[in-house]
Amino acid sequence: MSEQAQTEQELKPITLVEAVTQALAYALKNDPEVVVFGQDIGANGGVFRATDGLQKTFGADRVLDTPLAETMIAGIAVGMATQGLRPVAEFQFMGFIYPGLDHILSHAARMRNRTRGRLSCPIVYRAPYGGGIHAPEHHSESTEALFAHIPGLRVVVPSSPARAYGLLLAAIADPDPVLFLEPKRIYRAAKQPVPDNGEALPLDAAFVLREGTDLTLIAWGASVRETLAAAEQLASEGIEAEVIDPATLKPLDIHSIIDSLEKTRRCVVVHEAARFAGLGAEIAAQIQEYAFDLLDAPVQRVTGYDTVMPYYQLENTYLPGVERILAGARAALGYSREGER
Amino acid sequence: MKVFKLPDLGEGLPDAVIREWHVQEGDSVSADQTLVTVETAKALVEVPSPFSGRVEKRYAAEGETLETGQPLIGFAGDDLVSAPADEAADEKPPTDSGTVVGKIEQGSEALAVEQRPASSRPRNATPAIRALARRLGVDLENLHPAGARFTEAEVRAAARGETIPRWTEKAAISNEVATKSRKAEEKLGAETSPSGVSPARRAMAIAMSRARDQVCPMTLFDEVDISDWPKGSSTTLRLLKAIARAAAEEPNLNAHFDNEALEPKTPVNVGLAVDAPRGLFVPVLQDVGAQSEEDLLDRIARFKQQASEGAIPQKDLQGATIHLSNFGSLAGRFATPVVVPPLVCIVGAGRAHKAVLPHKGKARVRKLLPLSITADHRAVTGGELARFLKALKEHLQ
Repeated sequence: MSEQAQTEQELKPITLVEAVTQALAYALKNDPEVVVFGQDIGANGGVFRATDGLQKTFGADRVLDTPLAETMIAGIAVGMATQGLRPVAEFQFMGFIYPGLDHILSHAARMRNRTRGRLSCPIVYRAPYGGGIHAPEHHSESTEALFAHIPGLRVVVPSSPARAYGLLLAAIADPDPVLFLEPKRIYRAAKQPVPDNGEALPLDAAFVLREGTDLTLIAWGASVRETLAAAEQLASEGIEAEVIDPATLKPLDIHSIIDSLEKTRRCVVVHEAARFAGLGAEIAAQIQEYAFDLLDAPVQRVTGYDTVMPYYQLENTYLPGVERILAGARAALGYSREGER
Repeated sequence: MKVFKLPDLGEGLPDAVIREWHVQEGDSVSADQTLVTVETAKALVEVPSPFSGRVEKRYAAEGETLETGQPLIGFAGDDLVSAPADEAADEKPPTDSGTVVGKIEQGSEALAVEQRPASSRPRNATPAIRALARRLGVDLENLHPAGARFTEAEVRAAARGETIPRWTEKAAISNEVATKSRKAEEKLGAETSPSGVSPARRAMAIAMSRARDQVCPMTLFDEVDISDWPKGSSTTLRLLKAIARAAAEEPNLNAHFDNEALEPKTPVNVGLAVDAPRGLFVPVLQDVGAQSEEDLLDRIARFKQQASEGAIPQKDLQGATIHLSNFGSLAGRFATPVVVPPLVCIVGAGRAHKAVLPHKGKARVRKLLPLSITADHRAVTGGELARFLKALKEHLQ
């Protein structure tokens, strides 16, 4: 047994949120320019405990509590980043980013362009996102498409502890701003051994989570769970679905998706964000632009509805569940033989 | 007197210096004629006359500065003719420019009502299937899928020149589908195929492939003694009339079979195989039992001419209930004619010949017409075929 395998075997499995903490600790420890800040992230350890213990370990100079002022959180990150630091700013919930949007959109995302490359903004804006935790209004948002639309901004979403660790380290190391959206519904849903070796995972590259030849299912964040469950159900019926997690939503790794479509010719995009102009639309558009001739069926979208994310009594109705994903899959699979829809 | 004031010279400048007068008081001027050259802060500008008329007064001397809007020149009279060309130029620009930064173009172009583009193309193939069809050189426009959309197997079958729906499903194909596919084939026959093969030959290939794959042929041979026919009888005509009568006695041969059910037809519409340089044509003689011999002969002559010219009307190629091939007019005694679905029977007539036969107890030279009849054994029993042949012979003698 190799030394590494032995180490992995002894590793205590950790949750996705613990993997975030582990990555932040690794970055704070190994890069003196890294600064972590946000509301209640220091003494308190963060609303979801993502920064638990970091202030105690790295001091209040590196792990800062800020006032309840998202505009300021977003703005000081721009100042720090242009002056050589690597700020990692936390918004408590994605639904509270919008006061900081001006700094993100008008400054962080375009500083490199505005200064003709003289300055860049190596910022990571972290935010828990998505529904499914019985939260009140503003706490269940999934508006990744708004941010993916902003030129100059990366949008990254992990869907497992290992990818949370590796992608967050990559985001921190990246010289440009990254919006790092953490699917809070699966913050503690599953555990996985994640070696604290500082190894980043590649940005801008999709992950094939399950191989298949009959259908391509695309999902990210918390929806990956239901999508994999749907794929298992299909497998029990003899249909092998390939499951792809783009992970970096912008820029999108369309190549991996098209490679998959070469095999499957059918595609379903799953996202809990609202349907209209969601990323499913962008993915479908790119597929028809680059791989029109591969298609045996229209790209299906299984998404949230075009309404405000409802309170918890209805949130499971809103979120795409296994049944809805299966319905989308069957629509794609049956298309060539059925009548027009 | 009409007074012309120093106009805004287009740059929003408040004043201008008179540099040179080009007209004297008392001069007659025409519209657009240059009156004076003035100097603004930016340029020398020539000011054209807005009217045709006589100059009565110049309000400023050379070297003087005039503010925009101050009197420049006076014309005699009040009813002066304006310079038409200048009217547009005099039109005031809109006071609201629509923006405080940059320029907003203000156009007057009228846009037509937008309409949803109409699509007449059938949506019966997915992009992947269309791509496959392109690659294999299959023109889907002229084909019909068995289901809502073409399958890969259908396109590949079409690329091999095979007919479409039969390869798709194991289950029997419905009448509707069979009709569709026939229509498709007829279309193929009617239009020029891109490969350069004549449409008639391509239609023949499709029809014969289908026949080969579907039909279970059985053929009976016999010869009919036609020595007693009046001189000059038309073999084809006598065959047609005999078929009509035989079919009345054994109706299961004059029928369609849709892979499930046999459907005897009335009346008897005989598809007559007509050989032509461009390929095989099978025009249909409707209700041969009811038509006069003259009419039938006229029709046959017309069909033969049309076939050689390659232009038998579509309607004359439809509705056959039984086929007749009188190949014997060329050569050959017996054959195994091919039944083309959904028909179940084809009558082949070989070359009539003379033979020495026992006739009324003596050896006699008799004239014989060889017959070869093929039926689809899926639909027709051997007994039915034999009885049909027997009836046919009786009506031919």
